[in-house]
Parts: sequence; structure tokens; C-alpha cells
Amino acid sequence: MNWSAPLAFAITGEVSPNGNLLRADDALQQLHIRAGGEPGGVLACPALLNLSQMVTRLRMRLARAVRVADGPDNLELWVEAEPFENDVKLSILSWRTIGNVVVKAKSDDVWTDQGQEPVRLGFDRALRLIDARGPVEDIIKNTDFGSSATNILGRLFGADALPAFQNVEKFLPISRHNVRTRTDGNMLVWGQPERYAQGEISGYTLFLAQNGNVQSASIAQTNRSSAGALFGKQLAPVLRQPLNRIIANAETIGSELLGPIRENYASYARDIANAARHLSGLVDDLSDLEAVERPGFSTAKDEIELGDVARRAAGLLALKAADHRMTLSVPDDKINVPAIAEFRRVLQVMLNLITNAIRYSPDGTEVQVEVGAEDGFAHISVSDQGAGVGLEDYERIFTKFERLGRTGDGGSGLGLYISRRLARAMGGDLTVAAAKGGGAKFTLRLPQ
Amino acid sequence: MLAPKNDLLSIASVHARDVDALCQDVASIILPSAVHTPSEATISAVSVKLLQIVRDIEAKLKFASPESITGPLLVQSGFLREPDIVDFALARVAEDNLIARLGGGISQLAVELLDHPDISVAEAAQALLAADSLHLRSQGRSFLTLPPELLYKMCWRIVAALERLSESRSDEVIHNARALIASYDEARTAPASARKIVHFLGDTHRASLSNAHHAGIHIFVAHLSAGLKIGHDHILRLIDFESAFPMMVMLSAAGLSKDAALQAMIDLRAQILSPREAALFADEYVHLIPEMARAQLSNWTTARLSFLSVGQT
Repeated sequence: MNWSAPLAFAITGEVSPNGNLLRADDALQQLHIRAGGEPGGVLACPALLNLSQMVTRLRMRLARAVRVADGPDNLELWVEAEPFENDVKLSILSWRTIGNVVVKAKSDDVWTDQGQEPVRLGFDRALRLIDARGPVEDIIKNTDFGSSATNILGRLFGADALPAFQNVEKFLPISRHNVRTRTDGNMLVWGQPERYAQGEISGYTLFLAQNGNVQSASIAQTNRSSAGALFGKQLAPVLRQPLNRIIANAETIGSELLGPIRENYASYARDIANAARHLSGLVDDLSDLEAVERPGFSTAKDEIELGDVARRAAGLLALKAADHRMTLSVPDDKINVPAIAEFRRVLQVMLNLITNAIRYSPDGTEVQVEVGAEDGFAHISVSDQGAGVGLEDYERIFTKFERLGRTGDGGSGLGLYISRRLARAMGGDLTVAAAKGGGAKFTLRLPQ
Repeated sequence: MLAPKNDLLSIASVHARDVDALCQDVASIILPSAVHTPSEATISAVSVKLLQIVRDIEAKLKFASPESITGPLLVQSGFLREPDIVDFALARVAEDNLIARLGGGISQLAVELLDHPDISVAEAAQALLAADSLHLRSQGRSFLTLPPELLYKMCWRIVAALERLSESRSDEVIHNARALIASYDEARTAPASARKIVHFLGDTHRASLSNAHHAGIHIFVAHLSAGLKIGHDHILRLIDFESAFPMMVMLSAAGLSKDAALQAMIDLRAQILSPREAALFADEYVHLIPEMARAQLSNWTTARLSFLSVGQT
């Protein structure tokens, strides 16, 4: 299991006797919606609903570790539930991710470029600007204080960009992403709601940072690609919601949380959950595929350190490796290999390579991640002790939907294709060779 | 004064039927696929446990008495032989055995965790120590060891039995029953507080959590329960089973190394480990395949859950 820090404040919610989520803090509300629920509707996380209904029936205080599916992740929550008038009050004291089936890089909200301080804008509950810190000179004027977030963002980014900020009005987090300014610049934007000690919303903090690293892409290209991005922007979110609901319900049935069932039925339910996770992973892959094949697809040019990327990727997959009693060997933190590439894309490639190494190597073996530099290029490689890749397949393995005859292992045949496209978009390449002592060695080269 | 002969035979016949039924229930619950007859000592301990709980609940309902008032009626009705209740009592007997084999002391890990910087962990450690002392070892509170569903079920069944015996309904008894249920807090039970500790510590204390002697039985079992996703009571029963093999399979499924498994076997079964079991453990443990062990464990769990669901309301 991955350990995570306990929550500073309990995440709370109230559930009616018939299971409706009457009120919930953001995190619980979002979990409910991701599982296919509707605001005010029946709690869509079956394990939490079951706990609430048990409290309704028994009128007792219960305290349990509850496992719920959250898209590709499984969560273990420590939940204390008690009768509250006619309803049930849920208090989630801890929120941990366990056993990722499809690991996604979630580095969006981490500001890695310490050399460039972001602008930090503080808004009150009425979303009026009350605080601004960092290099604000070109962004905020004195008269902006007291103005609404909509006015300020409209002035900076134009009215067309305002839908990208609708989470601000809903007091929901915004993941870091690039937004084009009215003056044709690029700015990274992310944000989060703020709370009082009692847990109530106190305002919103928005972070803005100049993003001069985005490779130029004309507005025409942007418009064209937006119009063509049918899957990633329109279909993928629609598909994810029912899939998440299928996963959540199948997990509940499979883990027999609502009561014992025949073993083969539980097994079928687990199969359904795994199949839905596979589909969910495929949706992610297809979104990425559409993105990398889009004309004008570009990546940011961050200054990154490959050893750091390797250690982060290995950390995210440590549990998966431990499940197979595999050792993940990563570079010493004294080794410093800088490269110019987009951090989250490199992390995505590394997660794909290490996941493949774990998936296709025998249990108990070692996966080695090494970094180095040569001829103006930095490189990071992943070596395993599996069956290896035949010389004749060195190129074929990077083609779209190529599985080299493998089936039923949860792969889509897109990971390596997307990874190579990403590597080349960053000015590098991804290749495979034989590892010492057998196995395969995938090497990602990036400019320095 | 002796009862008339016919009455004596009648009473003896009822008791014999009850004892026989209890034996069969107990035997079939322990491991559904195993041919196993519980010892007289186990059967006796189960009966004592259940009647003690009934007596303690009666006392809370304002019917304190040296002998259980409703116990005979509940036995005769078959209520105290319902699978989930017998299973609970067997788990408590197993728990008592394991605590005794660990030396009967308190959890050293829980004591250390009282100073843990995470207040949730410190509070759970405090709750565990309190539960261990007050609920398990003090008189009059045995019902606080019950899981919520069983406390609810037993409490109202005892209220019904009292009404039947007195042939009247007492508002005071009903009020006291409601108060007893409302005062229950699962977070203050030993299994829940141990599970909370395991949840909040995660993998950072794996070595401590896997050390039964240091962690104490509740945390050790909660750690296995979290990893294997099987019930706390089921694990207690597998550890205390007559044969050592179910425990070996379970430890293999949990991924314990041979050294760690050996330490657990010594801590929890040294007094009852046979030379044959020890020899087989030494030779075979490393050859157990965790995936197969997990599959076997899953079969036992499913069979047990199916059995427990029979007769439940």
C-alpha cells in the first residue's frame, strides 16, 4: 500500500436514510460524481452507501476502513459514520490510494520549476480578488483588487477562455494546464479552493505562471485541432463516467461488501472490474493517441533531471513491483543528468516502460533504471530480465496496436507507440535493445 | 429436591440435543472443508462466553443476576447456536488462546504509538489499550467485544426473551436497550482500533506490524486482515486452528518471508506445534506459491461466508 499523510481535516458528508448524498465536502462530492453519481442523488460509492445504510438501520457509530474504486485507482478510506438526526454523518479521516491498476502521472499540480515563481491570486468566498503575490506587475493592477475573478480572467485570457475556469466558480481544483493569453502568450494556470479550519470554503487560490516554453502553434492550428479532438475532449469524459461506475459496482460485488455470494460470481465481478479498468486505460491511451497525432502537437521545454523522474516513476510503481516481488533499482540521487523536455510527458513514458517491464518479466526479478548523458543527449533506460524482444521486432514493437502476439494482459498496444511519439515530439527518441544477461532494454534519449 | 423422573429425562433430552447440535455447528464452522470435531474445552468455552455476554447485556437492561435469565430460553430457541453467533464466540476463544500464548501482556507497539505525532494513530492506540483492558479483561462489559450487527441482534433478542418470560413489555427495558445501542462506538473496539492503526501507519511500520509478539494479537491480525482482505475473526480462527497448516497457507498468502513466518509460528503456536508440523514447515514453506495460497484462502473465506449467511436475518 502507498502511505499518505492523514487529512488535516475530516472530509464530511451527510446521507439521507434512503441513501441520497445531501451534503458533502468537495473531495467526497467529486468522488461521488466520478463514480457516476449526481448532486443530491443516491451515493454512488457502494461501500460508503452500504456503511451509511448500516448506520441508518442499527443507529450505531461505526468506524471502518472502506475500499472504494476511483477510476483506475482503489482507495482505502478510514470512515467514521454516526446517526445525525434522521440522517447519517460520514467523516473520512484518511484517504489513501492502494494498488493502482493503471497508474497515471499526477504531477500536474506540482510546480517543479522553482526558478520561476508563479503568481498567486487569492479570492474570497465571493470570488473577489483580495490578495496577489509573486511577479504580479504585468498581470494585476491596483484596480483589480475587489474585482471579480471573471473580470480579471476575462481581461487576461479573453471571454472565450472563461469556460476553462469554470471550476473556480464551483470551488473545485484546476489541474495545471496551458491557457493562451489575449496577447498571444502562454500561461500555465492551476488552482485550488481554500478552507477555514472548520472545513468550510473560505475562498480560492489561483496560480499563474508564464509559459514561454510552449512551442509555437498557430491559432489556426489550435482551432483546427480543437475541432478535431472529438475523442479526447468530448467522448473520453463521457465514457469515463459510466466506466467508473461499472468499476465501482463490480468491485463492491467482487469484494462481497454487500454480503457473501458464490465464489464464481465474485470472480466474474472481479473480471468485470478488471475489464472496465482495461477499457478505462484504453480510453486514456486513445486520448493520448489523439493528442500526439494532432497536427502541431507540442510539448513544453522544462529543465528536468532524469534521475528525479526515474525515482518518482519507480516510487509510483513500487507497490506494483512489490506485488510481483520485483526489485526496482533506480539511480543514486547524487547522479545529476539534466535534460530539456516536458516533465509530465517524460514521467508518462517512464511509467509506461516500467509498467511493461513489471508486466512482462518473471516474478522475483529485477528492473533496472539507469541514467546517463552522451553526445549532447541525456538518456534514461529501463532494463528487465524478461524474455526480451527479438531483433526483428525492434521496430515493430513501436507500431500502433502491436502486441507481439500477447493477449489478455491488460495492454492496449498503444503505450510504446505513444511513448515514442512523445519522445520524438520532445526532440529525442525511444529505442529498444537487448539487456545484458537477457531481457529488454528500452532507452529514452532527450536533448540536454 | 430431585425432580420427578419424567421431568429429569425430558430436561436431559433437551440438553443433550442442544449440546449435540452445538457440536455439529461448531465442527462445520471451523473450516468448512475440514473434518474436525472441537474439543470439549472449546465447546465449554464457547458456551461460557455466550452466556457471559447475555448476562452482561441483561445487567445493562437492569436485570443483574448471578445466572443468566434469558440464557436457557435463548439456548432452547436455537438463537445461541446461530452460525454468526457461534462463529463470534469461537473467534473470542481463539483470541483468548492467542493472547495467553503471547504471554497475556499488552501491545508494546500500541504503548509506543501513544506518542505518535499523528493524533489519529495516538488516539487509536489509546482506544486499543482501553478496549484490551476494559472490554476484554474487565467484568460486565463483554458485550462491547461484539461487532455492531451482533450487539444489535443480541440486544433486541434478549429484550424479546425478557418480554416473553415476564409476559409484559417494559418501557424501561426498551429505553435501556436503545441507550446501550446508542452508546456503542465501533471505533473503541479492539479490532477496529487495531485496524485504524494499520490503516494510518500503512507500510511504514510493516516490520513492527508483522511481529506478533511486539504488535500484540489485535494489530498483528488487523495487519493480516488488511493485506489479505479477509475478516479479523476468520484470521484468529485460522491461527488458532488445531493444525498449523491453515496458518502456514495464510502467512504465505500474505507474502511473509520464511523467517517472519517462523517467528509468527513460534510466537503464536510454539506450545502446540507438533514436530511433524515443524519439520514440514521447515521444508515446505518456501515452496508454497503465494498465488495458490491466496486462491486457497479465498475458497475458505467464500465457504465460511456462505455458511455464516445461513440463518442470518
